[in-house]
Amino acid sequence: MRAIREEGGAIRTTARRGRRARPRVGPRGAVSAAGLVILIAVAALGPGCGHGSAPRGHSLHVVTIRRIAFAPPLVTLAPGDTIEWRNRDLVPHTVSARNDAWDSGSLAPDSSWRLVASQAGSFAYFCRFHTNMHGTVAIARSR
Amino acid sequence: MKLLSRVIPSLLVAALAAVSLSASVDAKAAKASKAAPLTDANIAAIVLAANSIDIENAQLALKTSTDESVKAFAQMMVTDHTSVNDKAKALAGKLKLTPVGNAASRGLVKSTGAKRAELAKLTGGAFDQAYLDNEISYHQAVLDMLDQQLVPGAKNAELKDLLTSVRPAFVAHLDKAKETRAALKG
Repeated sequence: MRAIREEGGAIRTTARRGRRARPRVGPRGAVSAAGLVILIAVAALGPGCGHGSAPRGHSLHVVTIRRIAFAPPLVTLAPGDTIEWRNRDLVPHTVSARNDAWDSGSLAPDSSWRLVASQAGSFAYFCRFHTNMHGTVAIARSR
Repeated sequence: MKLLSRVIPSLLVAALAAVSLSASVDAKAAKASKAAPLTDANIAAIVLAANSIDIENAQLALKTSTDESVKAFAQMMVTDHTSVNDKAKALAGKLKLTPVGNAASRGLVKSTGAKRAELAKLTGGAFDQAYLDNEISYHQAVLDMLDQQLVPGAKNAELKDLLTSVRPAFVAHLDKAKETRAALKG
């Protein structure tokens, strides 16, 4: 199980390269044994970062943060797919699950952050800095 | 407009009609401003001044207020307006645009400086209320200035895009200031 920490305003993981640790995070108030979302290599810094492809056989979905909005606001993933938020706004934002299962921390302009979908469900999220910003990640049951 | 004229009467005047401030700012500059439309260099100066003013207001709030919601709002102002100013400076550098102050930017600094001096005399709940009332008026005035002067006046497409892009953040700040003010006791 790897921890997640911030480095220089971006999110990095402490996992060793090539080994995908899977911290499992459940709904608010209870860390679920089943786990809902898997966090993988998260940070992407600067131009060129964050444009990598998803693991083989899975899709990469991009949510652009611009003008105080997540676009598109709803993304549907298959298990194993990756979702990446790219902050193209003028101010920092967060990508924070309503149920506290995951949180990007402060994402500076021009940085990005990723999640890999695991178990099915619908997960609402928002920006902790600008609480009128909302989005939803829907994870289908299977491919 | 009623609220604006009640809380910071000189700000909107300074921003929207520099000639009205000719008594309190450099008369020659005001006259020049009346004669000449805003240049991109003037707009850059106004943007930088507008952000810096709100950062200074927020720093006063962080120092003075003991209310967590007020401090959280003030911290957001520091973070966001610093970030916008960083972007504006980077764009100015890229465009080789040296900000040039004019009557509007100088009037903005002068009138808001006077308001900040008033705020600095307050403490406790009186400060929190006055700070947030001022933030509401200030953000509304800046939005009006963006819509009526800065966006229409910007010649360079990237500068115009920056001005347009920053608008939703200022709207979010206005909404948050209203929400935080409404939640204050008293």
